[in-house]
Amino acid sequence: MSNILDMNHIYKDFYSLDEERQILKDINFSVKEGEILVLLGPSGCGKSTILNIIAGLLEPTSGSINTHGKKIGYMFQKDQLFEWRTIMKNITLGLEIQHKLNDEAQDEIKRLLQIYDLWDFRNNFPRELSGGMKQRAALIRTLALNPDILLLDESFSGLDFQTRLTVTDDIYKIIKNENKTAILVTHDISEAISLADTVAILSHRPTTIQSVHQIHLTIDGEKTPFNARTAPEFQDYFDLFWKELQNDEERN
Amino acid sequence: MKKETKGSPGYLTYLKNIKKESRHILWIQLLSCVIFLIFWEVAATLGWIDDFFVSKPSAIWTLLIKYIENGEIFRHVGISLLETLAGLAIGTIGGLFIAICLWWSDKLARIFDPFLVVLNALPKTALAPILIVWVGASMKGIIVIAVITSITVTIMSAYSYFITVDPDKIKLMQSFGATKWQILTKLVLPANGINMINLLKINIGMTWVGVIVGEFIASKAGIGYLIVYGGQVFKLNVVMMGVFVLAIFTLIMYQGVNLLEIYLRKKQSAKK
Ligand SMILES: Nc1ncnc2c1ncn2[C@@H]1O[C@H](COP(=O)(O)OP(=O)(O)OP(=O)(O)O)[C@@H](O)[C@H]1O
Ligand SMILES: [Mg+2]
Repeated sequence: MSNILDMNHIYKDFYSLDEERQILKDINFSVKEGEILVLLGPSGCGKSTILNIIAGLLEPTSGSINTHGKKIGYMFQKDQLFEWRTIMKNITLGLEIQHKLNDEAQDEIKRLLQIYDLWDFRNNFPRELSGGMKQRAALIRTLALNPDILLLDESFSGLDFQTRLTVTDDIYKIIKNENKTAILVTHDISEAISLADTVAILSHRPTTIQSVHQIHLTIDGEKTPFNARTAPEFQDYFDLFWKELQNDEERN
Repeated sequence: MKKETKGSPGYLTYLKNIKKESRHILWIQLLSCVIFLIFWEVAATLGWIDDFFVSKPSAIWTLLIKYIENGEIFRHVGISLLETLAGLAIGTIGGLFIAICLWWSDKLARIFDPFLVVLNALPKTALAPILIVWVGASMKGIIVIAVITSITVTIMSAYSYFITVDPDKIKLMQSFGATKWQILTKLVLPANGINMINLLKINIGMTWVGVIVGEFIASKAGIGYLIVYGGQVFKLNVVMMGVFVLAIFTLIMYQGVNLLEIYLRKKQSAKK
């Protein structure tokens, strides 16, 4: 399959009055169509910065990004639903801004809401939904614009463990069903292994990519992030990634 | 039509207790007023306190009736109300507009910051005499004073509300490709709906201060004029009546904003 995103020699410095800080140092990676790439790295290493650069919200200091003309959808750490809008109105926000709220888009939203169990809540306000439902609503808001590449920034970290497992399953299913490519960011090793096709491990600041691993798990039946955790290879990957992150920690 | 509330016996008792409690509080409030008025009346009649200085409720009431009958009160209230409503509208809308400009341009905000801080710390009533000289001893002058008293607070509070909107929500809007105008109208303003209502409530009080001070300095009519006139000729009844009427109208305006708030909340949470 062909590449859908290429990052070439991305550097990013942040300037403030008393210092300049190099955050990203020579980041290179590519993502193939349909792939889930997980960027695994310690807190504060610049994961969100990488996503912001891909989404075009931030200019890199140097380097180039090629998105091959694909559309990008960004899902943030928190659901960021607007509490004064109903779920439906929240989901149509992006379309409204881009003046693309036509019948076709409405039908698509209806389909998404129905399969992902939110149709009955379309006229409710965010405060009336559970954390997991809000995450799903936020994902549908992103999907409503029909992006080719999804960026997910620790999108589950605000949830309690149990909800988090269910939502991860749901979202994984949605990404695969809708045939999306995804770049997901996390500092949770288990989450990375259970979701990813490919894991890229990031170092401490200034951040580079330490290593890239293809994940191959032996699973009976269809893969879900939940049953991925029971695969025999899971622990080996866990130990490997743990050691790599640990080594990097010691070098600093 | 009476709304039928459903629920378990425990929940119904809970609701009933809350209602009972509010009714109770209302009764105590009314009763305190009545007792206060009776005590005042009796004390003044029996000469415990000098009614030349503090007047008494029955005298104030009789005077009010007289002013109502000859229509004088309506002239005074009408003028003050007009000045207040004009001052409130200009101060609030103008203040919000300037706050939006400051939000729009960070540079502008930084340029104006020290001036706003000074202007805010200054007692605006100190400017009243100058303004009257500049604008003239007319209704226009009084409205300008009222606007000056409320606009700085409006600008500063509204601006601080605007810039505390969650930066991630702004990033979300940007990720959709929103223009600055769309970020303003679809995020910043609706996110601060309740804050702006509260600002309006504060401004009612501020605007009345401006209007009354303005009328103290230069006017031929209005509630402020009535109060000053009463004070100068030692007719404390007139002063007290002025204060009473003022209290009533402040309350009415405040309740008006409350109704507006309830209406907006209802409209917001109405389901299609
Ligand atoms: N706009 C900015 N200006 C200056 N420094 C910034 C800015 N944004 C981020 N940084 C710094 O860059 C570093 C990386 O930030 P980033 O948010 O990308 O990290 P992260 O890996 O997403 O962290 P976390 O796991 O906590 O979400 C941090 O040290 C942060 O302080
Ligand atoms: Mg982050």
